[in-house]
Amino acid sequence: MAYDSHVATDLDHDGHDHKPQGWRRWVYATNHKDIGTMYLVFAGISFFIGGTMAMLIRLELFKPGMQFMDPLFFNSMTTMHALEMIFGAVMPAWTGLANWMIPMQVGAPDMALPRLNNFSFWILPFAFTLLLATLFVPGGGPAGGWTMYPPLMLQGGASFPMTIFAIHMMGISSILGAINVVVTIMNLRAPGMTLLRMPLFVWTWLITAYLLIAVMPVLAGAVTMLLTDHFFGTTFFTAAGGGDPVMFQHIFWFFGHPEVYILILPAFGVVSEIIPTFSRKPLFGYEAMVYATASIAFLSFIVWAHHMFTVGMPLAGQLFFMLSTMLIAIPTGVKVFNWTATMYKGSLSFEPPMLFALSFLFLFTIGGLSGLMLAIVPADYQYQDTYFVVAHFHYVLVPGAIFAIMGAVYYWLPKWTGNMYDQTLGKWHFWLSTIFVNVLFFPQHFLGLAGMPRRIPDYAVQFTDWNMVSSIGGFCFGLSQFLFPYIIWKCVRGGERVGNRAWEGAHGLEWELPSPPPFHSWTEPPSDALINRGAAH
Amino acid sequence: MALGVPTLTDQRRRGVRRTALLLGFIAAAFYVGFMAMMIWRGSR
Repeated sequence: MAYDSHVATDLDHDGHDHKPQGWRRWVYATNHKDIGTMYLVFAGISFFIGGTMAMLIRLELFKPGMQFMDPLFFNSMTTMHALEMIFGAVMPAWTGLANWMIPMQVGAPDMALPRLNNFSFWILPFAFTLLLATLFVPGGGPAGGWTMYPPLMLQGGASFPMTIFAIHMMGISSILGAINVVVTIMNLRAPGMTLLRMPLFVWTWLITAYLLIAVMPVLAGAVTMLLTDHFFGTTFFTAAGGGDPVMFQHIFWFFGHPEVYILILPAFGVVSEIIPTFSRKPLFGYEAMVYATASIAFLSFIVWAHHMFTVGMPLAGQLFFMLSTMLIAIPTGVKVFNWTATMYKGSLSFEPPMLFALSFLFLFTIGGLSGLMLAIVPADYQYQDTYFVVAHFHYVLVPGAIFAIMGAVYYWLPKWTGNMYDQTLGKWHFWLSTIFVNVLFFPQHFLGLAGMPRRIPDYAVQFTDWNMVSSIGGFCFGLSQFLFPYIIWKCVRGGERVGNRAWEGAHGLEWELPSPPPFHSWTEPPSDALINRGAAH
Repeated sequence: MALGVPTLTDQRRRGVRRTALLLGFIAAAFYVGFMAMMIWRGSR
């Protein structure tokens, strides 16, 4: 393929590879790998901060009665834990992986908008410093839940405007990052890399990026209206002035439900990369996977009010949102079937990425099935705001999104560093995580079904036993996570060298580059032969 | 520009700029349009 149809290399100047050194390399970073690394490190730090908050929550809930903290601080821990994990850990981790992998997988030299990329990242540390600073202002941190429902949220102290501003900054960062992803995929694919030859991770991220562009402005608009209600005398959500607090819930969940898929769609992409590699078979039903992803994204816009069944709505509304929610099970079922069919008669091996992908497959499905239960309107009247809901979304997000992120790191870490990590430790990390994530969250189903409400620091004595089990699972899960940064750190420092194709069964353009890859990924576009070899489906 | 740093051809650069501006416009329109819709509804 003609070289100058894609990129040109300027050979006129000073002979270094334009790689700044020291702190400038990071602060002025425009390289997709450096920015990807910063996103991932940031996500890791947020994961441990958010995790510490989770440990405090589980500590307080270890037994009934008030133990260590006052109820307001407990509420602010649940709120901050959610904000920290969703906006600080999972979303930046996916953006980091997108930064690292998308240019390498589509045959591009870098992201399309490198300076915007730098800006997108560097907004985040300021946003989260502001958010965490709310814990130290009069009145404490935001305590109305991550959903920020008025009128409760409007009663917050000095933390209220700080939280809103932090969310605005996170939203801007996400929108700019999403624009960068779409522009890169639509404009910088190597010649011959047609849309239906793209790896599934690229496809799922493309669809995720469209979701982000569509819904983050809605969140920004909603919190801006909260702000004007609080400070400028508007009454969008204040019944006394003719407003409607339920309207906020509709707006929030119009953002919030696609947000759930923003967190999980890239996980589908990662699992669709890992399972074929360790099954040594092409992905079963590639095109069906693409269409299923697009269907899930579309459906995510028309199901929002299933979060609000008990708020009150017409029967027709309840039926519509119940049935549209259940429809999501169809494309999701296609995915689970295709992953299973990929493994069928495959030559399977169980390295850490595959273990995490398999765990994802089983445990995410449990989360999906409890989601179906919650979609049933009359049943939801029983489950609403109980620990059953907490169990459901943690199954989707922890062994779902977070295990997929860990699987992705274990999958691509040898490519990034050129070194193989300690796989034995990686398996230890996997088994401890998988066992204790179930000890942590499975009993919460029982608690919810027995009627324990969520977001309370104290509970009736009959819930004690399962809360103790859950807390012990939580502490062990939390402790076992320290293996993860240790394994990465050890791998970055050295280890057995790997070739271009770190895993025997791996396909895709990223595996055609050296390990570690050069500072600029594809300075010349890959040939058709390379693209064909990568597109194993 | 330094050695080895890839630069985009003009055609690619135009494509990048066009897509980025379009998406930025859509995001801004969503935000402003959404607020306008809410203000309209709130003032009925």
